[in-house]
Amino acid sequence: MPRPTLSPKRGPVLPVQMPHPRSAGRSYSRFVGLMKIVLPLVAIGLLGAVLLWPTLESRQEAALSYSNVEVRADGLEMIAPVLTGADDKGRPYAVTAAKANADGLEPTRVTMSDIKADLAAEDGKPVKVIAATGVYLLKEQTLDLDGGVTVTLSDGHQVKLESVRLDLAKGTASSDKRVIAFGPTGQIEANSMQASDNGHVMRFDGQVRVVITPRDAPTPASGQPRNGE
Amino acid sequence: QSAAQPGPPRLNFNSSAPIEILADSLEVTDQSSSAVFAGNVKVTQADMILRADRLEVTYAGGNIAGGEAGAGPSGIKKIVARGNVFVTAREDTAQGDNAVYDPAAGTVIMTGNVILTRGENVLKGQELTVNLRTGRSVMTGGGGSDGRVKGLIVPEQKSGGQKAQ
Repeated sequence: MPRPTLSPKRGPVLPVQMPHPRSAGRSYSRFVGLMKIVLPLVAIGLLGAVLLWPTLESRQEAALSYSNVEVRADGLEMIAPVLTGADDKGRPYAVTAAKANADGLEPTRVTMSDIKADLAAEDGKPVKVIAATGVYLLKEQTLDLDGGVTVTLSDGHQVKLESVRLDLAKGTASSDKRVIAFGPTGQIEANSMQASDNGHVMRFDGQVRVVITPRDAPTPASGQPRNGE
Repeated sequence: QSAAQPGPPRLNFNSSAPIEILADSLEVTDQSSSAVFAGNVKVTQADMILRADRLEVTYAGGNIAGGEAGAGPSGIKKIVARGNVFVTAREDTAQGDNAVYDPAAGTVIMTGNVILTRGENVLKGQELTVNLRTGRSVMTGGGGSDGRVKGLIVPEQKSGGQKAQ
């Protein structure tokens, strides 16, 4: 892991290498399009791609800065870390957390709390992701988000999950807890879900329920998600 | 074609009502623009219910991302139901091995041991074609004991007619 360099201006900047699965950008856009039109699952597809940290074509530097850092015996605590960068199309992203704890100067594990990510979707529209907690395992390149994860798109689609595991190397996302996605075109619920091939293939298992509201149908009151029976 | 049957069964779809699909699993594949529902599939739209072992939905493919969501094509290109297909709409039921719904053509074609019932009226054949726009269904193929049952079922015109997507 590269050594954190202390730059006077804004605290130590830790150049972070972003591992990137192949060409998530383009595949992501087709998936979003597909979902938008038929299944209101845009955000889950998004989850597959966007939450894999930035979808960068090649390994690119991302800047991780924080307002304050405490070096402690058991590791490094970063207060209000901000991870910023831009993806292969130059779309900026910013991921912040209330705090992040690395288990040492050569971290193998970074735990984060109160994570917020502001990103731009393929079509440039804003996407917001929030998660209560996150554990990033550097060697395994996995990111476990837990305690409630919500992905919100500008066109009103939203996905709510209890937890999700993201394998950054393989480009997969999976959750074994109830997941629900809803939006103007309808709603999807299932007991578990797996996204693979960067969100290209989505699989839902267990009491799958899909409601599709045709565009010209009067918008039924059922816009709100029903909690899974 | 034999003469029209008394009190023809009517299978009509209210195509603007919301659709609910229940299943044990769902797999969505972007490349092939397809979604496959598997296991105890039940599709409900208005008072129409379709059950099947498996439901394969194909979307208009191509560069979907290009089209704006709203203005994009209606989305569904074809729906194929496989295995123990039952369609019920009010007092009519149709069952068969497979069924294909083609929104563009506005037809549902059911094949394989097709049985169409309405109350006590029963028609058996190998292929049933339901035209959703005209509400006209045509049953062809040998299903009955004499091996050549054919039936032409002409339901009365629904007021307002069908608006197929």
